[in-house]
Amino acid sequence: MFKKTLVVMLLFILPVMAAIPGFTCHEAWAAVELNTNVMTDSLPRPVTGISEDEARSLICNTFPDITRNKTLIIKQDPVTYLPGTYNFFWNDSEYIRPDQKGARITASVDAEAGRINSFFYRPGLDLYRGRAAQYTRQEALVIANNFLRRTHPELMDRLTYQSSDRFFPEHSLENTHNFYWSRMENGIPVTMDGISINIDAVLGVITEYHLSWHNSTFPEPQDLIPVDDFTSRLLSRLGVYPSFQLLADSYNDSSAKSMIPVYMVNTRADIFDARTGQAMNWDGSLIEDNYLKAYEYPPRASEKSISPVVAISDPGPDLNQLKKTADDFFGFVGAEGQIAFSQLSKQGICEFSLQHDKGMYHQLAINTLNGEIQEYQSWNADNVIFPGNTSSTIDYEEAQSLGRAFLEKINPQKSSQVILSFDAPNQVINNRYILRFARIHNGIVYNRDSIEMQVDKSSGKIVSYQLNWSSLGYVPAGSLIDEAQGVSIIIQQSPLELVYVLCDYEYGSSQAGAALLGYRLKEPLRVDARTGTRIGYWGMAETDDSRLQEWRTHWIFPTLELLNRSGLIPEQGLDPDSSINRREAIRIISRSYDPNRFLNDDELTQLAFVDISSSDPDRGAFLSAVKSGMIRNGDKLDPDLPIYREELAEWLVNCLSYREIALMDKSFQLTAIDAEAVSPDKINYVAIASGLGLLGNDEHGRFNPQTPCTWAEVATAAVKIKPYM
Amino acid sequence: MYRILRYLAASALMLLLALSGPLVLASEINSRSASDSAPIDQNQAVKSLREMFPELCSGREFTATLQNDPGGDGRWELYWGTSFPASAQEKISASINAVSGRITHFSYQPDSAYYAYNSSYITSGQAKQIAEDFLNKYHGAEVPRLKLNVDYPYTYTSERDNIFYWNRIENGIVTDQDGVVIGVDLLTGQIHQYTYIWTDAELPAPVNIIPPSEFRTVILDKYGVCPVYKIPLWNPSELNTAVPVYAINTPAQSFNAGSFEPLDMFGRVLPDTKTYIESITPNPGGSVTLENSDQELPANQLMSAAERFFEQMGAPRGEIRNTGGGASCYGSVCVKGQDYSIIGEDDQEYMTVSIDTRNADIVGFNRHYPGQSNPANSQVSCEQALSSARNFIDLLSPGQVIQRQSVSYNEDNRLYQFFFSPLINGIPMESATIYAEVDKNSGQTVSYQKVPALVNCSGFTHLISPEQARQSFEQNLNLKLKYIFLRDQNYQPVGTAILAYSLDSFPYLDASSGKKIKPTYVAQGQPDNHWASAALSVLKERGLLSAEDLSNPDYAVTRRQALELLLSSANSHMFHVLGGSEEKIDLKFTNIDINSPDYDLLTRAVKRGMIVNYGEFYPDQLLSREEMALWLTNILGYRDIAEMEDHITLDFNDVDLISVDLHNYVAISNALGLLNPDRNGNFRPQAPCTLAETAVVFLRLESKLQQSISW
Repeated sequence: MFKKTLVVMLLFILPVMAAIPGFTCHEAWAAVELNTNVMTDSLPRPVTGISEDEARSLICNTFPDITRNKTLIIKQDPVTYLPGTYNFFWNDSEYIRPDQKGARITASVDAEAGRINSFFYRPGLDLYRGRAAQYTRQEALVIANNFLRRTHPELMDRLTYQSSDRFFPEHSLENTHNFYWSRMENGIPVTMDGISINIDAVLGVITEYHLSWHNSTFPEPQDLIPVDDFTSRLLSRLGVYPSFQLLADSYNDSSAKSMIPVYMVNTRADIFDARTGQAMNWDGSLIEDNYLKAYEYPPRASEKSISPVVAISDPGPDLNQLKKTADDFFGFVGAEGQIAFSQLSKQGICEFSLQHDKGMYHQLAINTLNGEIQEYQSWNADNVIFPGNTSSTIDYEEAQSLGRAFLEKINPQKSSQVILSFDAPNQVINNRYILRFARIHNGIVYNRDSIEMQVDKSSGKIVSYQLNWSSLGYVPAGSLIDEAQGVSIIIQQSPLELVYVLCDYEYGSSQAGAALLGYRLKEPLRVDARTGTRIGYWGMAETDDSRLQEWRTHWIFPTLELLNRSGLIPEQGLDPDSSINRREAIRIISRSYDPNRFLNDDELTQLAFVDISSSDPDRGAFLSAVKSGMIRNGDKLDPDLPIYREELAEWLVNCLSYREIALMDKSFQLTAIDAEAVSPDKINYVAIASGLGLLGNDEHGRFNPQTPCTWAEVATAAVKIKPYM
Repeated sequence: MYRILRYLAASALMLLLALSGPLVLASEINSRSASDSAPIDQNQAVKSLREMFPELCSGREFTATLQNDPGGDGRWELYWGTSFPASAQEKISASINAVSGRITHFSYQPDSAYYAYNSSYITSGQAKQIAEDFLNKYHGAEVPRLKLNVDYPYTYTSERDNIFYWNRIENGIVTDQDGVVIGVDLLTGQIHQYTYIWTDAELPAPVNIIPPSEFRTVILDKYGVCPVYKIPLWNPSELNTAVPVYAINTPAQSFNAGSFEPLDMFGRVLPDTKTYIESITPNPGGSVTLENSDQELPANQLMSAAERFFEQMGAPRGEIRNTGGGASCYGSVCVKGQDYSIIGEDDQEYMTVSIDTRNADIVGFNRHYPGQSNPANSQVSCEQALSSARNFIDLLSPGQVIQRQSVSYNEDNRLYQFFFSPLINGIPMESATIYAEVDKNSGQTVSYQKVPALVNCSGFTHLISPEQARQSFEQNLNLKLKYIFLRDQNYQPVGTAILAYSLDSFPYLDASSGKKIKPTYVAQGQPDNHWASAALSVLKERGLLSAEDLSNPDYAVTRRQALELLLSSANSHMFHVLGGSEEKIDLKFTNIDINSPDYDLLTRAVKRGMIVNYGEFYPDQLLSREEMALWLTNILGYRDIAEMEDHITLDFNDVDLISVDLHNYVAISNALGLLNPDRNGNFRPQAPCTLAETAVVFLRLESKLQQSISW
């Protein structure tokens, strides 16, 4: 009965929503009388706090320009639903784009607190057409600050702007300037709490807003260990370890030139109780002293080099030999049964399975190039989590010993090239201890490569083994400063800051929500182990706006700032009006979309360009460009030649997946004065790129199809296609 | 609704395709020594493929992987595909027996431009001739042992292929699953699909076979007959309403021809049981209409339902988390569910419940931890377990149900598994299932799944009696003698076969008249002489057009008819994949209110981006060809291009008749091969679309959309 009533009511109510003034945002929202009964009855309201209409009103008043004349509809998405919140959305439903890139607003309001938790706005694509980035970071910050003053005057003295010089070379190019204000209590920053605001660099509007503000009691900062003293004692106790750091612009490359040795603090802890000095997890629980370090016995850099693995040229699989290896392995792990060949992949991995082993199943992968065990998994039909149904028979230390012994047996060479990491000490998942051994190269940790194992807690058997080992070239450690010097340099950087740690809610800790005073290790904590200089998060110097200063008055400056945040400005700087080569252009445009978008697509893993070597540092960008359909795979790429404007048009149109239209047997009528100069096979590309405002004509109405593109043109185009991605 | 049949057909064919490699391979390996058989190398595999499909494989470099399934030694999987552009990928995949070099599977997917300039379909007859020529060329020696399966329900017409299936015949008897499948592209006449399955096994001579009539009597005596509701797969135009039929009361489809034992697909003997052990008493009544609503309850109500359920189940205290969701779809009807789990202190899930988002009904449940073992440490009996399952079902699904014996391949000796069907008008509704698992130790129900029917059920005032049905079956039940290959647990043939009688595809009687059910999907009355006959017949076979439509396909369609056709085309799931919006929207047409019978249709069109949501929309008006161009361009996502100021050059004689704002839409839809000018070079932009034109456009659009999905 209730169901039918509800359906009938909704059928009646929803269509008239648009006609009721109260459901649409108007400038004088507060003055509009609401027919609150309609909405309150139609949908359940949170337990306590403001009503749904009040929540809607709050959004409209906070973002009046964006929400004007838009009907915010309540939506409770089961996945994101949190009790006590109102979630709203608005879609531009006049034309629903099949690519789902239409204008959209979503917002979440905390009913109890009567405040907006989050607001997201995606402007319609038509607003971007033909427009370049025009708001500098400084101008955007003014907009954000003004917004804060207007909407949160009561919080202004409890917020501190966090000037971030982070940049994000592994992320796609952003077309927003992102800012964060940390919450301050007693002059101390509160972890997790604060306000973030994104300002669209093209339109100058807020596109994202998040507020996190938890209720808690903040203890007075008394009886604290003096930070300097604590820092010295802590660093002396923990020490540092050498690690290879990948350079920012080489995320798909692991050759020697892309890695530098750095010193890092040897700990897995981020925070320490400011009164006792004990290391803590984010939920407030303490970390045992035994497992405080990242590595119990950190490696020492040395020139006693290990020979790099030499890949054997493909000898063709010898299935019999591989089968014997499998046979030996299964014998070693005590598995009995019938071995079945599963598959030989094009990556040279040969897989076998073993069945009928008393209800156990086993899978084994062997690298055919070097005969190494690549992966092993075993499980039984009862591979279901039955918490509390197991009895512990071995402890973590025993698990470590068993893991080391296993490794020594099946890969003695690599067993001497790894070090046990305390990433997750004592951690048990599905009744298994998780062990992770990081790779050491020339005495330096190379954390991207590892051997991971799972040890059954009851039987002590190794039930999972995985070798992640890249074809790392020989990377010399070079001459490094000593560790004591590394410690000293880090201490000089004052690496600890006092914070209120809001104990994490997610882990169900008994202290959840409590505010504890803690010292937090600041980022970055990396010191170039060769020079002793501080280096940034991605192994390079942090974003340095100084190299852009000479272009501050150039129209392209806002765009250059965006590129700089993505690590796309060459270290040596640039002249935006100079021509750009094809390599640099691909590097920039391919970042308009998520560079990781195609990483799992293994149907194409090889570049076919005859002029791109396997060690080319931009291979990742080229591969991504090929997989996205932006450029063709094959022949020559000519990375050092200029990119001409009509070619750029083709790349951009391909990026937008309009190639099918560009290749049609009909041509657009170009209006550019020099239309006849456009190559016949590029006419439609030029027309589409022009029509969508990605590339324009000059002041004389000429498209200049054969003119090399400038840095500024390519950078602008990359930002312009971003909203389509 | 045709897509259901096609889905089933595709599933069956995919099963064949998936099994083709290992089947053949295993047979050959069994006839030799597995370790002696050196696999052919990659070059030989590619050479075999090029020889059979020279036109499609010429100049293409294949990547190869050597693979096997348990029990085999190897098959080459060849792959070639364009990577550019990714959205319109052209690709070839093939399987080649690594021992014999024989091709066991081939499929070709053209790129999206492939169909752009092809607008003429070949007829089914022409496609069949092409397939036969290919068969004679490459399987000449086997042709005398092959027979085209004209009755096979899955010999069907897909979006753009006609697929033909030849059964292997030995000793005049069909072999189960062996044969050759050939798919011919209706636009180009090329062979785009091919599968070859030929199992090496010892076939017993057909001696001392019990005559079918005698066998039929034994089967009817043994199992009897029962009335059930079935979805009429034999009639694609009526798939949304289940109808009462009489069926043989057995879950088996095949029986040992010598011993009468029921068999499963592995050739194993099944427990000899009836489908329904309890008696069924029809209770004449009206039709039952599916509650089809896209209204969804808010998340807090769903979570509250989960909380109540966990409390009812006595779950340990813990956090309740949403752990995902999904939908059960049948045709355009979907039932969405959300999953909630209760999480213990150790961050493990104790229980998960699935909740119907329309009404908060419990539609699934899993207990992730074992219940208490019973003190006697002995297993509960099957009867006790059944009682436990029934109690659980009564708790969650009030209403009459009947236990159904089912052929289950998911054997778990720790659990009892039970299937139930709801009773509607007193008879089982077989497309709806309630499934429960009971732990043998604890006697607790540890899993529960409720699969709704998602179709209507027709009412009835009278059914013939079981005795009358039995008499009718005596006259009409077809039993087919066939060879069934015995297979191991990996579905590999073990080298022997047995003779079995199998029921035909639809062994049912109309429960009211007692007449034997016969498939109606065999194309009838096609206007062969019409220029669009092939396209029209495809739509007819899918149940989208009536015989009356086919008799006069040149009538102008209304905008409503065109929308209905285009949206029912392309399988709504394609549109779901392509994009648009799944969220609720309100129509903004000033002349369409929510009570309009067209409201739902227009909402779907707006959600898929086909039409814009403002102004006025007149469903009864005729649809002009240039408007059709607008819709097609919109749905393909090219509106941005069409709306550009620059015009695309058009050379139609009547280009001046095209509305200025629709010029680029016409150009794009023409350039993509969706709408073409007549033979005089006139596009006729203001002419109304005819049914025949719409049918042709329908298939072209579907081809393009399918390209996008393949990506």
